[in-house]
Amino acid sequence: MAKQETNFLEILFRNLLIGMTVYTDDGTPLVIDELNYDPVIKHIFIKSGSDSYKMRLDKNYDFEVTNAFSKIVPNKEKIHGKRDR
Amino acid sequence: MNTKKHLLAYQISGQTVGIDIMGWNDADLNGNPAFQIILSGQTVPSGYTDIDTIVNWDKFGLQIANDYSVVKFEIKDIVNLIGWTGLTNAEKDLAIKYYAYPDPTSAVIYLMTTKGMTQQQAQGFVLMSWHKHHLRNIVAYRQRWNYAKFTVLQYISRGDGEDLFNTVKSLVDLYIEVGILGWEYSDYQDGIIDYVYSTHGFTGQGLEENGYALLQGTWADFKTDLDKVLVCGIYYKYDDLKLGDG
Repeated sequence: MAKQETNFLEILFRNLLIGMTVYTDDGTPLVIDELNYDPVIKHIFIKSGSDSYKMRLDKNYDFEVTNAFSKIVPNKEKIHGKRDR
Repeated sequence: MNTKKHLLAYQISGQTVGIDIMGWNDADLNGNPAFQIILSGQTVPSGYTDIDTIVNWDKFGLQIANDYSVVKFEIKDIVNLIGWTGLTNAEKDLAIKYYAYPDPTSAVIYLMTTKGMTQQQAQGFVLMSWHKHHLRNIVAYRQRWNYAKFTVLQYISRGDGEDLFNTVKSLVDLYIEVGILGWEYSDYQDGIIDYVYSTHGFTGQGLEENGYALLQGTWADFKTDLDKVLVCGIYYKYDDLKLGDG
């Protein structure tokens, strides 16, 4: 264990994404070896091998996943949720 | 970068316009503007003299500065240089107007002791003065950002520019809404200028590291030109903008 400056999302992203494969725009697979998340500009920086890349949180990318995700079209009314706690 | 500016006035037959003479004919200016702003270190043009005071910046600065914040920063700079206790009452009034006082307590005590205000009235006045300043500052910073976009697209392609605008959106919001520039400007947090210069939290992850292809000049030129607009308020302001113009 070591003291490390980070943020909540960076901890989550690192746990989930390091080791996963993401594809570049031209279809080149990249294994995510290292990851930073900047909470101010909301960007993810990944390192794969000796190369590093900037990615946005408000964009979709192609990831290598076990099961394909199906697109969900709601056929019921919205669940509004609450904030009563 | 050098941000200190000086306010200059033209002299007609040894008399300074706005100071010694309140009315003058345009012909007597020999084609020169009555007032000019120059950066510290620049040579004072022939025929002009320095009129760099808090009162003069308030009286004449807005006529020639690109925006309110140019005048505010120069007034604050002079206040810091002189110190609160060295200011005249007229200068203290302007320091309050431009949110250039060192701390609210000094401003409140001044208003209570010289204007006969109660503590509550003085605190209310200081708060309202700040709010008026804040509204003017927001207008100025929003205008600067809009002109900074023009600077950006002189250095990088439209596609890269759009990527940059999306990347720095939250920093621009902080700049426009709260006036945050960054660590070097006593903001105690990362700001747009930290991103421009890849400093503090954006070390190695700022503007230059995006790897955009420059259309002209160097990264240093690009950063300086952005600094000029966003920090110094130095930009060419169109005076022919009208809705519906082609």
